[in-house]
Amino acid sequence: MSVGFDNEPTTLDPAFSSQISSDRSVLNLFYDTLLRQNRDGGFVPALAEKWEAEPRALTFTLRTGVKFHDGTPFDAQAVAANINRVLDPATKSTKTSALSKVATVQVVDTTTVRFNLKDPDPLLLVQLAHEPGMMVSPAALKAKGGEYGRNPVGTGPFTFDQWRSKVQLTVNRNTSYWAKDSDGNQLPRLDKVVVRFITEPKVLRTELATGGVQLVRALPPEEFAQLASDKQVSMEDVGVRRSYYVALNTTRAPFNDPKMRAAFTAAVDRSAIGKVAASDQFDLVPSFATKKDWYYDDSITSPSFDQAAAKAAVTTPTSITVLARRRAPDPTIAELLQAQLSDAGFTVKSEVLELQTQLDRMRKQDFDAAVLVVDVPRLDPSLVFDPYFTSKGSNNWSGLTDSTLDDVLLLARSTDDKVVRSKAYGDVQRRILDQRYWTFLHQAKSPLIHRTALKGVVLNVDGQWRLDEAYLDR
Amino acid sequence: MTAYLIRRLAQLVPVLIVVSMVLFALLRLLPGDPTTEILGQEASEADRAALRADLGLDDPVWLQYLNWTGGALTGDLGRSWLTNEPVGAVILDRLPATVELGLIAIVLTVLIGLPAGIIAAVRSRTKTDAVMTTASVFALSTPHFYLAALLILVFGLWLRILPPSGYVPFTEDPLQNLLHMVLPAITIGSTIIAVIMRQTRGSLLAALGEDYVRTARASGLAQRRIVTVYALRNAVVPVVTVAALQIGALMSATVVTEAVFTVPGMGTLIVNAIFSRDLPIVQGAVLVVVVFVLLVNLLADLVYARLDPRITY
Amino acid sequence: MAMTTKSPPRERPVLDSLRRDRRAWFALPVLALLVLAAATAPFLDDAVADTDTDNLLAGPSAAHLLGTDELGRDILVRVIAGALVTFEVATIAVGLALVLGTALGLVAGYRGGWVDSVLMRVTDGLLAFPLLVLALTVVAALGPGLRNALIAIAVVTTPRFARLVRGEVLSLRTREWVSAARIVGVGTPTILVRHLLPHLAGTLLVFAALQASTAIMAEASLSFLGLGVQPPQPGWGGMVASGTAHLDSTWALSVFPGLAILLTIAAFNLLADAVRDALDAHRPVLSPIR
Repeated sequence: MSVGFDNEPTTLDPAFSSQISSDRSVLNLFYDTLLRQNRDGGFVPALAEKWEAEPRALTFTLRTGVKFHDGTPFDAQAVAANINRVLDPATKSTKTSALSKVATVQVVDTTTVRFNLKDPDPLLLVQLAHEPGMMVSPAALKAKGGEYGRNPVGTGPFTFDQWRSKVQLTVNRNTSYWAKDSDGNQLPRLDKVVVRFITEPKVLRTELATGGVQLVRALPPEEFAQLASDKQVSMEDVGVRRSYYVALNTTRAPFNDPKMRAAFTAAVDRSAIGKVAASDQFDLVPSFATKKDWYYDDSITSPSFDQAAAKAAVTTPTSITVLARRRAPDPTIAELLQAQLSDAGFTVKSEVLELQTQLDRMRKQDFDAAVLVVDVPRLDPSLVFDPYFTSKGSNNWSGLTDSTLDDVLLLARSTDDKVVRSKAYGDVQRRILDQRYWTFLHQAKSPLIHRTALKGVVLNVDGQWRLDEAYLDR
Repeated sequence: MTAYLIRRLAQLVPVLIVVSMVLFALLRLLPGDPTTEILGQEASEADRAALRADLGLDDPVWLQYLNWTGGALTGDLGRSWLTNEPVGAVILDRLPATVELGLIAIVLTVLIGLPAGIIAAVRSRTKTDAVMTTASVFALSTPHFYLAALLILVFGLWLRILPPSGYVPFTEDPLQNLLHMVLPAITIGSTIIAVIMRQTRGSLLAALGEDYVRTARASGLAQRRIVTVYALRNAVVPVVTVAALQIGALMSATVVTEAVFTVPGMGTLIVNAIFSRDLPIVQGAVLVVVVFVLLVNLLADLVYARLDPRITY
Repeated sequence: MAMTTKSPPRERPVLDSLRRDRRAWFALPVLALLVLAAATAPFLDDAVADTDTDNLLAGPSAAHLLGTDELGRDILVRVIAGALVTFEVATIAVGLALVLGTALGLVAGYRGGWVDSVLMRVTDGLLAFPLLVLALTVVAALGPGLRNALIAIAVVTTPRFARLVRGEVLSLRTREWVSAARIVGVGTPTILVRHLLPHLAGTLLVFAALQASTAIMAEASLSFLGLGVQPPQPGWGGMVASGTAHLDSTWALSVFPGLAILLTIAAFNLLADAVRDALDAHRPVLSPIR
């Protein structure tokens, strides 16, 4: 079975996997987590058979007989090694902050492991159902060293075969996988999965239409609209939105000045961009919150399009560089932004880059404005706001050091009281919009699209796949 | 023959020195600090210094150049800045697709360009000739990416008889592999087919005008035999030369065409590496392409020498 | 001709045979249109950038004769304005290569010796690169953009001129009228510029036209790959590229700019062929070009 995938991961080591939630669709091939989260938000066992939560501790009882792909056993020792690796500052893992409340990991016996917490952490289970809880073979880590990111060894449904950069990733069935489906069939059902890295949406669409791939990660609306009448292709709105945004670099002129950020936002006609980049298949909402999210608050309003106000604010010649990714429709969005901003008096240069290069530039804060997209919703709102808007967030593109925002975000993730959290996330969004750190663009619909012959794709709440139960129905 | 081969190989040496210097100068000396490219601007000065030492960037320029060329001679082209893979391994991974594409394009050229040239020459100054000659001018004038887009539109999207893009390794599925190669190979071949057609027509016309052909004709040999046996044998020599000179053009065509059809060959490798600012990859891949072109030209010279009885050593 | 230092005038018969050549009758109007369109381009700045998001990828209409692109801009206007880039490639990039390459070729061919050796080794090295591959390498070093693409094209084209001119000079150097001029005491620069260069004019014109076609193809390819002209400036290669995403719905978006490139390149090729044949018909010695 072949998958058409637009976002090539930079590494297959979950401790270093970046920002992009889509990486998880690939990581899910190799790795299991201790527990999983259903689409309705409930937790189900995975590598852990059960767990027991206390305010400041979490004890897992592990599944027995599970082995990593390299034959080494998965046990409490391995869990401790994994978590300690992420916690160790020397590792420089991108997931450290996700586990910041964990004080120690204690191996009780081979099948029991206890997490001792500094403070209660209502989100720990969610985090452990994600990359921070993906279990990597400690032996393989030691053996492969710096090359591990290109030679993944987990307990997951598929074993690594080959990764050709910018071309494809090949994985084979893990013949000794621990899981069975509800009818008792051994999983996974596919012998082999080829993940082909194709960034051109038109190519993705035609590959899907001609059966070159059976599943695609995401297609822009203008492409999937053309598949609507194709009986061989199934499309289902699973609530996933591709939320486009422009991050402004607040660490340097001109966007260290809130007035200039406001001018930028006022210059942008979001609905025109939506029309160009997403036909009619989009929502206009204030931020990352989708209309169906539990914390969605319709009293929050977006700054309005006001070219005159923008023009009035741009009093001196202001040159800015807009970064965009070399993949449709991003360059088109950048081009339209450029036109709109020029109309408002900015002097705009746009640079179209490969994703990794763009992220590099953004991490180095070497840009003024950057167009990017994230898939929403995520398992928890903290997962979409914290990385981008906390001072220490891994994807703090804007270079924010806003203690007000840090405080509210901290509050929002420190409780599981939905009323408190809902209000906190409302405050978060208002603060971001008031300060105009980012300009949120449209949210394009992103249905799950695959050949009808492919069945059994399981989705996380945020639309990333697991393929262990998938099969081709011929 | 051996002496000739050695002489020709010796002539390659200064060319290769210039090629390596150009590549080194353009891609090692011009762009900014590679440690920034690799580590990012926030990296500490200590990390940066360690990496500089590691990459040998503190050495004098001439030493850096010698290190690089020395490495290249032993097959070590450095490592990708982006993925840290050995450049040589990445290139080896991409080479088969490009070579296969080139070979199929050459086969197409022989199958189409040569007969077309013969027909045009035999029917010279007729409508057929005029149409074919005009067609060849437009084939030479069509950008490859444009032809590719039109082919994808017609055969991939409208008729749906050929895959619009992508690549399947020959070892995985030979039939699918060939099907995927058809459109890109036609695209790449379009130029050389036209060039070979024009060259065949030209040299065949010249040969047909020579004394021995007139003699043969006068002695009553059938026209077809005259063309194939006598004239073509002589006409083929310049055609081979021109064909070999087209290898460079073929590589240029491949770069663009691979990008349109997303064939994972040397072309897409170079273009993607440019966008990722992964200069060791650009450097290594371009070097391999140039060496490949030079070797093909050398081979053509040797074939030329064998085919043309007039050449002695 | 023994002691004259000027070649006999031969422009008139050449023009006459050009006038009878159908290829010239195709090429010259196309190139005239190119110049005209390029001259119009500066006046189209506003129209070129005029987006209309209520009118995306529209078919032909009275307001937009060829329809609109993915941002609702007029395709016809952008095709016309795109001529400027192509014109700049044919004039600036090829012109630069012509001047530089001719100068180097003259010096190398006339001086001979180590100057010739060094220059020709460098030329050989540069010519070993496939044209587009070298252009890509230069752009990789300098970064994407129209200016750098023009530089890259000048860099890859210069050695071709140098090689050609050197060859011609080598064969002319031994002619009596050159030695005669030298004996009379004419200085080297004067010999090169006043005596040798006029002899090369025809050959250079043909060669420049051929190089213009290659250069336009190379720039269009760079722009198609996203490394040449950067949006929102209209360029034909980039327009074809953005059109490929909409081939099956709005084919005009790719087809017309592509056609414009094709016709322009064909015009340069045919012009070169026609001029060469006209020159050859009126020149005693045939000199192979290309």
